[in-house]
Amino acid sequence: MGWVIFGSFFLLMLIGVPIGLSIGLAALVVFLASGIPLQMVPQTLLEGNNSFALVAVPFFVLAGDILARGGISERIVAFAEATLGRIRGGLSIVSVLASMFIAAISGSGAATTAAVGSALLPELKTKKYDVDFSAALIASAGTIGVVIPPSVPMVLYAVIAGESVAKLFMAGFIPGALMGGGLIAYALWIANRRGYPAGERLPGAEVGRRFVSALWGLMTPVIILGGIFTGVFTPSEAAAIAVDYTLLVAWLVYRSLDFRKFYELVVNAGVTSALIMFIIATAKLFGWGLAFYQIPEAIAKTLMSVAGNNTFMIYLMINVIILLAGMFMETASALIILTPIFLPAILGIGGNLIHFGLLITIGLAIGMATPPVAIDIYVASAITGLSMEEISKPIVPMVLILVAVLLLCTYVPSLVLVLPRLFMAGV
Amino acid sequence: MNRTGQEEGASRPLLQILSDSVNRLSERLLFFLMLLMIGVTTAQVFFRFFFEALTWSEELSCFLLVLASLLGAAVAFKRGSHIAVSFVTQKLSPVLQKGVAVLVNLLGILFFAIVAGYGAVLMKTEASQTTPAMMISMSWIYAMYPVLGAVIILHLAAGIGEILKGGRS
Repeated sequence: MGWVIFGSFFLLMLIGVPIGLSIGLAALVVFLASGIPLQMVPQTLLEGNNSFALVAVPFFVLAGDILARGGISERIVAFAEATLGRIRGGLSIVSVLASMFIAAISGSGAATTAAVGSALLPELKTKKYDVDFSAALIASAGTIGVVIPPSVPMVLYAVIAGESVAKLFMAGFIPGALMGGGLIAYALWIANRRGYPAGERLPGAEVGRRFVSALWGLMTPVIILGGIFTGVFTPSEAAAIAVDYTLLVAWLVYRSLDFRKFYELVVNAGVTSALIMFIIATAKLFGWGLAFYQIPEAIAKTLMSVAGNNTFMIYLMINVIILLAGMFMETASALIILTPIFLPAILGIGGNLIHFGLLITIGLAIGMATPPVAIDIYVASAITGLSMEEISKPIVPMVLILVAVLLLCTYVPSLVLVLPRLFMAGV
Repeated sequence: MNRTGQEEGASRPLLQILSDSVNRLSERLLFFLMLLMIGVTTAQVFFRFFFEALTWSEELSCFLLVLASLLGAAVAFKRGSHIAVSFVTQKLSPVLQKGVAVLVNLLGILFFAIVAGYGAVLMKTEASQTTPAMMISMSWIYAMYPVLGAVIILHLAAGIGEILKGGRS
C-alpha cells in the first residue's frame, strides 16, 4: 500500500501540479484510504507552519533581497575588488570571496548569486574575462550562500529534524570555506592558463574610501552571527534584526531604496517564503502517510540491506540520491521531502544529525548549480543573457570540486562538527 | 507574473475581475502582515533588553507567519509562481497541455475545498479552545482556512477561464 503515496505524488508532480499541492493531494489519498478524519487536514497544515523557528525564513529571504537590491552588496564587492583586484585573475577571486561574505548575510543561494552577479558580471565582461566562465563561477559560488550561515535550508532542516538552528549554522563555516577555497584555487589556475588580466593597484586613499563606504554592510554578519552565537538573540530574532539593519542602511545611509521598491521587495519575499511554507505545511500531511505505512523505516532497512550494513556505502548512496534530487527539484522542496525519509537510516547507522544536516544542505546546494533545475544558473543566465547551456558547460569542473568537498565532509565528519563541539554543548 | 490581456478590460468576465481585485487587496495585506511580523519580533528583542520579556510576542509572530504564508500562497496561485515541474508537460501537444493545466487547477480546487470546508468545521468544534498566550478563541485562527481557501479557489477557477480562453498555458 505504501507505493500509493509515492506513486500518486510522482504522477501529480509530473503532470505539473505544484509540488506543495502534489504532496498534499498524495497525503489526502492516504487519509481517504485509511479513514483518518479530514479535520486533521487544516489542523495539520496549521501545525506545520506554527513554529517560531520558521519565522526566520521570510526574514532571511527579505534581508537577502534588500542586500542585493539596496546597494549594500555592490559596496562590499567594490571593496573586495580594491583589495584583491590587482592579482592575476583577481576578479575571479573577488567573485568567490564576495559570495562567501554575502553568504554570511544572506540565507539563499539565488540571492547570493544575484547580489554578486549583478555587481560584478558587467565588469568582468569589460575586463576581458570569459563571460561564460565567470557566470559559471558566480553561479557555483552562489551555492555557498546556504552553507555559510545564515541559511534558509538549515532552518528548515532544524525544524524537521528537531535540531538546533544555531548548531547547524556553526557547523556551516568550515564546509563553506572549503567550497570557497576549492573554487578560488580552480579560478586562479584557469586565470593563469588563460592569461586573465591583473587589475591596477588602486591608491590607498581609494581603498580606504571604499572600505568606509562598505563598512555598514561589512558590519552586518557581525551583528547577525555574533548575536546568534553569543546567545543574545535566537536565530529568528536575529533574522528580524537583519531585516531592520539592512533596511536602515539601504534606506537611510545609502539612500538606494524608495517606498515602491521596498513594497515590491516585501511582497515578493512574502510570496517566495510562502511557497516554501506551503510545502512545509503539506509535507506535515505527507508525514502522516509516511508514518502510517512506516515508509522511512522500510527505506532505512532497504538501504542497509543493499549496502550490507556498510556505513561508507550507505552515506555514498544517500549522497547520490541527494545530488540527483538536487538536479531535478528545487532546494527547499527536496530538503523537506528527503529529510524525514533519511532520518531513520542515519540514526540506524549511528550518524550525527548535525553532520547529516550539513550533508543534505551542501548536497542540495550543489543542486542549485546542476541543470535542468538550477536556480543559480537561471539567475546568472538572466544577468548575462547567456543561455543555460552556455553556463552549464564551464560549470562542470566547479560542480566536481563542490562534490569533492561534499564527500570530504561526509567521510571526515569532524570538519563539520569541530566548531559546534568547540563552542556549543551537546553535539 | 505578466498580466497580458488586461487591456481587454471591458470584456473580462466577472470571475477574472473579482480575482484581480481580491489579489490586489491580498498583496497589500501581505505587505502589512510582513511588516507586523518584523515589528513584533523586533519588539520582542527590544523589550527583553530594556524592560520585561513579552509573553505573547512569539505566539503572535507564529500566527502571523501562518496567516502570511497562506495569503502568500494565494498570491502565488494567482501569479502562477508555485514551484512545479514543467519539463514533462512542455513536451505535450498544445491541446493536451491545456487539458492538463485545467486538470491541475481542478485538483487544486478539490484540495482547497477540503481545507476550507473542514476549516469551517474546526471553527465550530474548536471554538471553546483558546491559544496559550493570547487567550483568543481558536475559531479566529481557523477562520483563515475557509476565507483564504475560498480566495485560492477563486483564483484557480479564474485561472481555468484564462486557460480555456487561451490566455495562459
